[in-house]
Amino acid sequence: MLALSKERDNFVPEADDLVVELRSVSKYYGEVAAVSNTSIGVRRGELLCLLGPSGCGKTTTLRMVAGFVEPTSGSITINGVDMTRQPPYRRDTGMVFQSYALFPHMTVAQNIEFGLENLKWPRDERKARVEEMLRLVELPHLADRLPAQLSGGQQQRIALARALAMRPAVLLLDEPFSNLDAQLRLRMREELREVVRSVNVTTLFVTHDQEEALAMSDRIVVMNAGQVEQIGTPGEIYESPETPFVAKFIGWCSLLKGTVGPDGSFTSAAGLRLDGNWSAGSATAVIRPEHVRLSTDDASGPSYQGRVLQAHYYGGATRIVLDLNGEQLTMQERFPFWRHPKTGDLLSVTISTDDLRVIPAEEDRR
Amino acid sequence: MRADLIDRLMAVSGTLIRALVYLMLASPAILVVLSSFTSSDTMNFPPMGFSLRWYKVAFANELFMAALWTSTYVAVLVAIVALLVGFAGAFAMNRFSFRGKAFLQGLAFSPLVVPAVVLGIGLLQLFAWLDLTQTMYPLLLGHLVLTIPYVVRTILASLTLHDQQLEQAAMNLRATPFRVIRRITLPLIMPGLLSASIFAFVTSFGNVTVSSFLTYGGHVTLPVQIFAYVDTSYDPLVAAVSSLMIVVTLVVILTIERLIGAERLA
Repeated sequence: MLALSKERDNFVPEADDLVVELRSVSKYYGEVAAVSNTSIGVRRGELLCLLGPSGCGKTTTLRMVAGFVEPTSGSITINGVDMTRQPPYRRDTGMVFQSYALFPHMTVAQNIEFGLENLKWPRDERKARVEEMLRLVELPHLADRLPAQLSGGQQQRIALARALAMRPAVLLLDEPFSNLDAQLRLRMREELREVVRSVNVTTLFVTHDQEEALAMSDRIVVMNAGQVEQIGTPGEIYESPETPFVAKFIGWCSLLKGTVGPDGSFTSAAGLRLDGNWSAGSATAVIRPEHVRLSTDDASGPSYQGRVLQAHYYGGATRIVLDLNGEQLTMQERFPFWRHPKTGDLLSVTISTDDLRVIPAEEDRR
Repeated sequence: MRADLIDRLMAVSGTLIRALVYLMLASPAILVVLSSFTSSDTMNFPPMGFSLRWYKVAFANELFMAALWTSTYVAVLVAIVALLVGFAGAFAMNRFSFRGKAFLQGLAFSPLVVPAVVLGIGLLQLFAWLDLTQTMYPLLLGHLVLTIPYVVRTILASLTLHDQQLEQAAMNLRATPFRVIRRITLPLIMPGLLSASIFAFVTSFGNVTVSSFLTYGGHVTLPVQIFAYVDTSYDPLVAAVSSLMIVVTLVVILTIERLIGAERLA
């Protein structure tokens, strides 16, 4: 398993081999745009995540791919065939619903077999496939149970087995972990990633949890207010957000509005100056907690005096909100409990500008 | 200690009251069945002796036997048609919004508002005008008008509680709409269909008011026949026939349960 994932970590999907392609898709409910003018391509074999806050249109987008929602305009193709106006049962997709939607009157095996019956597979092939899927999710002993007799994690695995049994062109996952408790969620996340990797299925995945998206995806589509903010690898999304929204939504950060002068240094509205080599004009600096460090004697770059506004002890680390010349920054540092900073304390910090992202205002289109 | 006593008192009186209510509900039927086994010439309670003599009379009575057959036949047919029409109507009302939906919903419930006698007279005039009075249709159609509101209501309630996401899941698993209804929707709302069909059967089988206007051309239902008989004579024959009615009702209910229950497992 481990070797497999190592291999997969170097997997680069071909940019022009698209399994699902949405072209300028919009969905209006009356005057309200749930999704507007969105173009997304899911590459063969990749795990693409739609990430955004609730109401951003990510679930509507997924449901349009599955065929439960008909787009107002634009086109959707699956494996090159136009599916825009096709009903769900003619689309080669397998979906895992948020509530799993297992059929309560059928056993686990019957649930998995249902899709194969509809595809008119011969009986012995169906049985073999059901067994294979149950082995894949490691629950062969539950074949004759009813869904109500399963735990949440087991139900989720069966829902996954049911969706994968038909070997769909694309696997659709709608917030598959939201009904599980925190610990189980972590385990199921790893399991699901392993299963999806091992059968090598193209996957479109919807979540509002940025950590889940970063941990699982090959690429992430960040959506906001019905539109795509940015598409990129987890690294690109986190390290070089293209809009302040993306920066804010992925991980903690402070956004400082200001200008970049002719010398390439950034000055915030409140007067905090950061040396660098950015292109001139008004801009927003994205400062993440890991950019802010306590000053040490051999520290390079200028040191700033910050006043502690809030300090939250989380055991392994303390999250501190600092006031730096009128700008609020968040930092994260390990403090022993007895040396824990208090509100009003002065801390001397440096800001690492090497990998600091400054977003020029013209890139901030929205 | 005190609270414990009050708890115990409440529990005991609850059981007593429940027993009393069931007894009150069942006692007419029990009285009729018991007095049907009497060996005397008159209806009385407690029955005198034990004999099947009035059952022999009942089975020999062609009028009653024909009426029993008519009633059963009409009620079974009405239950089947009401279930089909009611499911179609309830499904449309549950799933689609269309012009005149509220009107249709109101219309489906209107027979509950119109007094049965008025309904009977109206239907009598309608069928006379349509020149259908020598057929079985007035009874069938009249009973359908009576039963469809119940059936629509019951099925609509089931459909409202039914999780439509399961149908989407089935569609995602390549099931055509027809297969979704057959494999997912119908099995899951089966309890509703069961009670709806029993409702329809019992309502049709026991109805007197509307039936009495629509029983012509020799198609007389059993309740109407009993009513007519009791008007002139009062002997244990009525009790025997009524007991037969209870038996038929029970047999049909059990059959429906068995049929639909078996469907659920398949």
